[in-house]
Amino acid sequence: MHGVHQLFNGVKKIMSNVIQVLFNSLRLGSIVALATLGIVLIFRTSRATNFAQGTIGTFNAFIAAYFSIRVGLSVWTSMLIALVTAFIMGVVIDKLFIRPAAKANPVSKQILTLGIILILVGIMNSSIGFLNTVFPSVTVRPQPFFTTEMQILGARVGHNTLFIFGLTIFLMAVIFFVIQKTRWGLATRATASNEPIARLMGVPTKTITMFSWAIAAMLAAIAGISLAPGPGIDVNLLLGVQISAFFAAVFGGFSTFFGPVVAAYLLGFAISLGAFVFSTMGGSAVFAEILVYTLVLVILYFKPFGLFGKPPVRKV
Amino acid sequence: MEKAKIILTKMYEVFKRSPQLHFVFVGIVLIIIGRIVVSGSSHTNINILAEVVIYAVVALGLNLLLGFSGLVSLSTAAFMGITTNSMYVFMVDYEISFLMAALMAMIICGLLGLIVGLLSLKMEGIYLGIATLFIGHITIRVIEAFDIFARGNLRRFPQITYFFDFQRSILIRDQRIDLYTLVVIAMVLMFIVIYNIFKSPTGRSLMAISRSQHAALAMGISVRKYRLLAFVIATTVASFGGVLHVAYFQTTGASGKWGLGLSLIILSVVVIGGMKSFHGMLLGSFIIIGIPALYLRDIPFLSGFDDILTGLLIVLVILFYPYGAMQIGYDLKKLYYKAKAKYKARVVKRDE
Repeated sequence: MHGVHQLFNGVKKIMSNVIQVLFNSLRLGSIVALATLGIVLIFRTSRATNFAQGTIGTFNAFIAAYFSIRVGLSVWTSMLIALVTAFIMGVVIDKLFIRPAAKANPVSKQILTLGIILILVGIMNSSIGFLNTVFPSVTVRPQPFFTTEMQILGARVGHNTLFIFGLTIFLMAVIFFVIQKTRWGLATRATASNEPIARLMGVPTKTITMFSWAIAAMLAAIAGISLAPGPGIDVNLLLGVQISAFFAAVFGGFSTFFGPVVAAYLLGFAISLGAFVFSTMGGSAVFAEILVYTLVLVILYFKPFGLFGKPPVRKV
Repeated sequence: MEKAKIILTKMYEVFKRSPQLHFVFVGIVLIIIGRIVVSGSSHTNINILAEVVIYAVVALGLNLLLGFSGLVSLSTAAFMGITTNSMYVFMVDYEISFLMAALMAMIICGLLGLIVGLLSLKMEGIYLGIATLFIGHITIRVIEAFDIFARGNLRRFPQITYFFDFQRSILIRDQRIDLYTLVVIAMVLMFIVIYNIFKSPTGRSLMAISRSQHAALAMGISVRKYRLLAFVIATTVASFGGVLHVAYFQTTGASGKWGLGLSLIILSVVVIGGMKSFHGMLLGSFIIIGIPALYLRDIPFLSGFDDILTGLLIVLVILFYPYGAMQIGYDLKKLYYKAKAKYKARVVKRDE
């Protein structure tokens, strides 16, 4: 009887640990999911691999932090302001850089986004008075949305984590609904599947592409603002997220919108769990990442277009 | 006198026909520039020149992949990092000679390239690009995980004996020019080797695959074999760049340096310089790495804006010269001929 009780307690402890890891990975998973959705949106509508997603997010996270810390507005108002600037930024980037290069090959477009990264990083690193107050060179740590915690199934979960997760799921639901059910979504899907033909059929592909950039920039801004309270904002805030988002996009499959999102959570959870297991066994947490990514590579060898992706149809 | 003229014209003919001699000529010019720079007031600029040369070599390797076979790699910098770190282990921990360590590091990178190549048989486009990013990311994480690599921290090599008893140190100002000369000679050799690969049946097959895989298959070219080969060559050349980094800078470089950012910079050197171009790699490398470090930083009004200007430069070149900055030369030539024709027409008109 005693043994059974002990076993039960042990299982319960392991379970609560796993649940704790699950909740811990939710926040980062959500942030990666937001970033990856933006990347997929842009890739599908303008055939560009957006390396600047992370930098755009960091830029707007700085703006949100400026308004909440320096100006003294509430976290919510400053987030709204950052979303507006992100929207404008997406439109400007599309108008100035992406649209004129519509005929460039995909690799040139990748490098174009590198150019955007360099310009934004240059602005953020600038030491001119006004820019230096908005983008200080010291790390700033804004307030999280919530600071309270609650207890779920024996695991401690911050309200902030739950809010970010809820927000992500809500945004995903809205975006999926719009893409699947509305005229606007139909136009987006048409642009994604074949841009020239869609244009010939009267779809305003330029507007679609522009709004995709704007929405992607807003998603990046939310990702940046959500991540900022943890490590604090510096220029490389979303660098790791950016790379994880790429991995999630490929693992889930670029050709669907939900695959990358699922993959983002899956990868986040697998790496957190692996890190937990390795650190309890006395190893280094870095090995978890190595192991998970190697496994993903092996899976990709057998499913080269991702878990949910379909191979593109190719005609001779 | 007459004889000398004939010999000179003959020599010029030979020079004109042989691109290998062009590379040698460029190398000599680079060495002369280096000698002028190093004896001047801002002698540390020789480091930037060396960097330009090293990244030109790496970019040429990537160009073979991107320009000649249409495949993308986003882990070029990671292979350089693997080379520098494994060379440190070979040379300092196992006391192997420089050349042997370089060879072994290049073989390791070649094998890693084979793995990337295997993935490339299944994947296309951006999927492949990010798969290569995976491999680079994993290997850099491995370097950061183990103590024999000092967990990815920067380490300085003790005195390196390059070959026989040729010993130089970058820390001594007068010896830098010798190291720079060594790097430039290596660059010229690598350019010639890659040019010959490009002109060989292998290069032609790669070119055919990049244009149309189906047509290439129909002509009896094994796409599998040449894709693998392209990746092995490209990673080996990237690794050679790492060897040059060790040879000149004599450090392993911190693991953060060899990430996606540097790989993108190398990719931008290829795009800016122009795909399928050889001298373009030097030009691209100079535009992306040389100009910001050499000039933009020194102009007081523009200091702090060098990143922005580099970004703008990249954007402008891609928007206006989608086939690379070497195109500017052709445009200038065209303008010159146009102006000449106009001038001639005017002269003829006036004479009438």
